Amino acid sequence: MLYKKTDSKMLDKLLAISISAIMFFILANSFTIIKMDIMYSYESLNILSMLFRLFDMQYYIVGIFIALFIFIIPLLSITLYISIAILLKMKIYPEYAREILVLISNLSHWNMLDIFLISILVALVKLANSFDISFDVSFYSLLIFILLEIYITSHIKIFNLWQMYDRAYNE
Amino acid sequence: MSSKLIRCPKCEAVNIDTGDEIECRRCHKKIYKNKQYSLNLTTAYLTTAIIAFIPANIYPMLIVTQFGVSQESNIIEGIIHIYENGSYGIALIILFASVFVPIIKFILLIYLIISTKLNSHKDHHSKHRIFYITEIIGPWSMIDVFVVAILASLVHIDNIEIIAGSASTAFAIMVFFTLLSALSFDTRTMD
Repeated sequence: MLYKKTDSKMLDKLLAISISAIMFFILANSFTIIKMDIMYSYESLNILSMLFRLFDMQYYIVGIFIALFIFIIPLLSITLYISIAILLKMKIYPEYAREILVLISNLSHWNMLDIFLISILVALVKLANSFDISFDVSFYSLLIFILLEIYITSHIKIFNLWQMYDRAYNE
Repeated sequence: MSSKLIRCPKCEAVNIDTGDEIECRRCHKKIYKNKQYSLNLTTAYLTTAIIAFIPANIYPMLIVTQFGVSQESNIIEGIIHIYENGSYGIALIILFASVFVPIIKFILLIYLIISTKLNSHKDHHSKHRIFYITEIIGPWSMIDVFVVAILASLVHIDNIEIIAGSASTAFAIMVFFTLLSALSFDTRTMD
């Protein structure tokens, strides 16, 4: 199916899911994703700690790319979804709404949080034979955030948002 | 009187083709009609990606230091090591994401660029399908870079340390430029 018909509750749905998603994103970045027992010393993984470690090792380019793909762009995308839902609902600031929609379609190709989650599983399989590993709160929060994001991108197409933009400001 | 129509690549709105400088009626972005500009941009990004792919495969991706002894491994050595350890599935995933995906993407993009340059309008449905495949598979090459970053972040105690190798930088640059190359390709040139 190429285009989906816009339903009247789509903006409410988008707003509700985006707000839930951003809460799970905050949770995912506030706690630990994985805990690992290495010879009686505990190590933990968190997106921000991973980025700091990369910068410590002076891998600035990799650090910047990873920060963009798994932190800045997912956070920005979900914030833009919340903003566009509010703007279209209140029918205010058409020029900002237009720029936000263009930005959403430009950013959609750069979000790689789902690939990062698969990478965590791959890394775990590599380490599982040697160390004792367990998932923590942030892993499940990250998983829920990704599922909510997939729901948004598969149910609310950019085409539908442009249709709603036309309807909101051209009436 | 019939006028030509043009699709905006940003918002998909249909506009009336009024000449060289067209501004989209909906998103107000410029609609570029210069086919050569998009092709040159795609070719430049793709060339950069291919150049970065060479050091990404030659230099070490991962450096493991155990009790003072360092062991370096590039992408292929890493895959062989995982395979020898019995993790066949993981070896297959990394082989696919780090070796096959970039090569497939290079080949598909080169095909699209050449066929567009030669003005071949045959079978544009399959060309759109090829472009869609390159867009979908592209970001999956980042798996290896993410895995290295995760391992380097997790394993750093006194006697055992995992460090990201210089190939990870080249690989991240390669993925970034292949994505840019696909995004800069104007799909209207295939029609």
